[in-house]
Amino acid sequence: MSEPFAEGARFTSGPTAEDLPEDLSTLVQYVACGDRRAFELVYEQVSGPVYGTILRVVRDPAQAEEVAQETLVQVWREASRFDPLRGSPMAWVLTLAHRRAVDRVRSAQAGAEREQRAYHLEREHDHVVEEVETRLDRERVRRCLGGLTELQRRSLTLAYYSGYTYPQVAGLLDVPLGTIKTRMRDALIRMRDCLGVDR
Amino acid sequence: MNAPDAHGLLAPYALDALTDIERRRFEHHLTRCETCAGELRGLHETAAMLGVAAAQRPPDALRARVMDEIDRTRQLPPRAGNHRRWRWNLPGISLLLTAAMIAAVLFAGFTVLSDPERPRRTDPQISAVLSAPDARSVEVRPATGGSGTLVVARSLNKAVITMKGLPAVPSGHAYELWLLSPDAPRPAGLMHDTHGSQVISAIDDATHLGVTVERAEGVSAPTSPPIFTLRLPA
Repeated sequence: MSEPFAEGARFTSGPTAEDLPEDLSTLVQYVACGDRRAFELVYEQVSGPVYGTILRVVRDPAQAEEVAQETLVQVWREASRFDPLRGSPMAWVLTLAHRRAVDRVRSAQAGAEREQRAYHLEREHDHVVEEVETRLDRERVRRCLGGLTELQRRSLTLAYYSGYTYPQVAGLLDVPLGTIKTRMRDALIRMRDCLGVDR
Repeated sequence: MNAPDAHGLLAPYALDALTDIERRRFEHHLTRCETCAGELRGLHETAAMLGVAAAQRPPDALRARVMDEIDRTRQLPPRAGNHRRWRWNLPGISLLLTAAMIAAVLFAGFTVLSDPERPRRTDPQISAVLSAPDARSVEVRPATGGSGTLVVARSLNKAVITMKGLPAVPSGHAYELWLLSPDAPRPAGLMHDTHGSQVISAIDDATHLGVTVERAEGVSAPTSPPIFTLRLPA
């Protein structure tokens, strides 16, 4: 191996000063101070997950867009309420997004059967970097979901991706309420450990 | 709500699967439950991963509408007592200095984001590597800044590296990629920008990837120390 590579390789896995502007947590704190440009960078990072999560739950692209807009404006308005000690900024944002999505479907349908039509994955304007990252996350989640029992997996995905309450999930899967609560908990904990999520 | 009940509801709560009434009761319980908060954090992070995995690029029109609406939206003031937390999060660096650094790089980042030349469609070669059944990935975080992902598909003898936020190189220079094996480094492509993707062919017996800054037209052997090196997954 020639001289330049003999030593001085400086690959690290730790964060550095230059990472700061890409660090979502720091960006959100700048948004809290009214920094519009920081918000645009936050938008770049979270709008895909926000829109995708909401779309999975509400299904209708026009409604998903509305709910995504409400969520992203909420991120701007409530940025000062984000507390880095209580979790990651992505979890904070997606908690807001998912909550709004389920509120939308539950108020809209008020107990009516929801249409379960599939939607097309239109990705006209792919950005390669985003695609790689999303693909990898998707792959990891898919693999970890594969490690769950059938009942665990279905109770998790019916709740999160379809936005059903646990009594509805229990009804759909025809199992007692107590069982569903336990399965959801087991499923989330197994996913947490499989994904290596920080506690 | 007693403790065993509450424990059972943590997961449905994290998944937004409680009914309205239960949600309100549970949130009241949460204000008094120290152990709940710790566990809930991990469950929320896990649920968020399910959301991240569902990411979809939103319609382009959404961005303009959101930016327009935030211009008309007053922000909530911080709750009293938040300041100490902020300092916690930025240890050892004065806020002013951090602000200046962030402003500088935000500006640089902006030029990248608004670049109309950025790739809009996925190169078929890149798609092939990403969807190869044996594709393995490594996160790339050079100490000098930026981040990205390297995906290696040994079955295709190819890899794809995507980087963003790299420091700009001096004019007339580029990032050159090298495949490193027990033999001499082999040139593996040039990146002329602070972001982008590069397909790397003929990995063969290479064990590492290295990146140096070289003349823009590329050189046949590295002339400077690597910005970073990275072990290729087997």
